[in-house]
Amino acid sequence: MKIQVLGTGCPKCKQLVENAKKAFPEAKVEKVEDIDKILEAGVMMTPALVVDGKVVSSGKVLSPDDIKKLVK
Amino acid sequence: MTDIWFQALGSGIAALGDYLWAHVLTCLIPAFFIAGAMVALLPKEIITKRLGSKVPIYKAYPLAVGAALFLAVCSCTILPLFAGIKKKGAGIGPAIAFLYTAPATNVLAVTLTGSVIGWDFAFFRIILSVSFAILIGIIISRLFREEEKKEEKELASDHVKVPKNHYKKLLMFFVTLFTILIVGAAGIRLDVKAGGMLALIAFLVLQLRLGFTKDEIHNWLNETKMFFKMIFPLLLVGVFAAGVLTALIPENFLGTYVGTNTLLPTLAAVLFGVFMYFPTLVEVPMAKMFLGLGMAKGPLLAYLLADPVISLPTILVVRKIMGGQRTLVYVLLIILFTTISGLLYGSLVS
Repeated sequence: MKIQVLGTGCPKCKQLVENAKKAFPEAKVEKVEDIDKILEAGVMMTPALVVDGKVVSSGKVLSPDDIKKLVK
Repeated sequence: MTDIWFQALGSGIAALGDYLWAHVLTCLIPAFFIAGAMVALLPKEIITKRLGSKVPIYKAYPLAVGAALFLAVCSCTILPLFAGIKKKGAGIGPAIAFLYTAPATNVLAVTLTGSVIGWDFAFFRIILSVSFAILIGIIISRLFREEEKKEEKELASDHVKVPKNHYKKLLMFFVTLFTILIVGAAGIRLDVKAGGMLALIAFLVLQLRLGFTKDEIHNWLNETKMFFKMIFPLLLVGVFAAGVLTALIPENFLGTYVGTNTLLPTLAAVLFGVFMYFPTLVEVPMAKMFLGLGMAKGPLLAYLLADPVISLPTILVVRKIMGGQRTLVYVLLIILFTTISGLLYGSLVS
């Protein structure tokens, strides 16, 4: 499984990266900061969570539990 | 010597106590819940849909600014939305109006400013931010007309579907929340106020039970908690520090540098605000502390106007979206407008 967090670098994005790592310690969490790539994903509000290339949430800092629920 | 410290501590605690009683329960807590609801429940995708290329210009600006009033986000969170509005059609002018207003002013920002610093500040904040947003949007779109026509790329962003009855229930929900805020802030008899609040809260709970899913409620409470955790401790520290410092340093510390309503202090306050990054709404406790340290009212308003709108990280990303020239003009216009309004306000109050 590949997890990406899209965000230009505000505290909320960093928090989401942390939470994603907590939710899936063994998965690779990548941070995407390039605004062009964020736009290509069609994301309107950062931070956004992308799992295996699919946007599952945007504009929210999800808790580790929320992330686990969404990925299931 | 110890006397002075005790006095300072006492003054800090007194400031904190006054502040908590007067504002927190009735005014700030509803405002936090509203901000949480705005983040969690309002579908943002609707903004870009409404601001498509077919929207006439006289509608696009009010729409962009109006939409931004209901977002409580920092200047970096809305960057993709800004790019979306620009690329999808409404064009650079309304997009810039949106980019400016979204972090600069919203319901929570105005309530916070009003209850922490003063309602005159809150009033000027909302009026000036909205006018500057539209003005700067118009100026930039006029200056760079040619460039604008080249960009017509579609943006894929329809992964969220909004059910039809969603808006009706949201409207009622937000009206109830705002009524709670207004009743809470109103200067009416305490028993009337308490009764009204209880009835409104009961009505709110009823709406939640009937119309909202568990996930929606969970998201709402979660976002509210995030705002609270981020801003409330800072607010307490700011109010407390201001109380302590006013007792310790009667002839204020910042006063020597930014204690007058003149050009240099105002410009310094603006530049500090433009380049530093603070998460959204943190500018309010910051300003409270500056006020306690002796900053004059003119520079303070200028800082309050400039700080949330933009920061160094945002400038770098905005430059990628709309190019160096337009970004430079955007930043210069922000500095110019906020400095002038700080000077005007300063001469008005002094």
